[in-house]
Amino acid sequence: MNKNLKLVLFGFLVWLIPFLVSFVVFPLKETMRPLFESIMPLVLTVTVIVLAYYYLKDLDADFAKEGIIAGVVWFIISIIIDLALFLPASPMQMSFADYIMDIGLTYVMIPVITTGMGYLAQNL
Amino acid sequence: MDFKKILEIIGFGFIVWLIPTIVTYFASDAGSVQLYDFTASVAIGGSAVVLSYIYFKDITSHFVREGVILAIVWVLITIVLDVVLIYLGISKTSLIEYAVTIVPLYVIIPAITIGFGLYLDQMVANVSIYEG
Repeated sequence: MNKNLKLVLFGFLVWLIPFLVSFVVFPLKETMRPLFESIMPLVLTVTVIVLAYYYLKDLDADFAKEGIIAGVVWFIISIIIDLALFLPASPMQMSFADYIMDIGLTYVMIPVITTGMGYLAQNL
Repeated sequence: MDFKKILEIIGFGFIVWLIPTIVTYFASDAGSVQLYDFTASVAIGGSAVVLSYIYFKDITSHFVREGVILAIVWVLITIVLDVVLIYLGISKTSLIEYAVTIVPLYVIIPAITIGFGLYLDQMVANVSIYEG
């Protein structure tokens, strides 16, 4: 698969998988908020580790650089799709500030993880 | 396993506990539940990623086993130190509240250390296939 296509497709999956899981576990947000807030970063972390592995394993060089690029691109994709869903009038609508505080900043985990994995592969 | 390595694992475990504790202390002062949730998960995940990277870069084999060891030791250290703070009254939370609100977040630590171990194991296997 073309590298750039794979990068964007995986970025979409990094957003989609936690989003689908959040739908399933959303009732917990009202009844057991701390558990909900623990599940979502965990799902995001596992998703990013798995997809970063499948992305980096087919590369021959520049793992560190590619790790940084993947993290930044996936972070931007997740934020853009979320904003398209959460900002317009809908049952999910929230203000930009609320979105950033509640969801958006958690995505900082994405570049942190992919950069770490890229540098680890670079050292092998 | 040599003494230096054991010391490194324990020292890193202490830092994995210390960074989120300091960060969440200031976040809880701000009084926002959302800010607390975000800072707790990102501080735990971020410190686990950085310290796993520093630890794994000197490891050459048995990555999964090392990841499992890191996970067990780091989670134990963070929980034990948190419980000590609760018993000393420094942390204002109750044990039950702690078990429900904070402990589940620590699952991120094994997800990262074991995930990195599996990842390095596969990457080394791939390199061996290409070179073989």
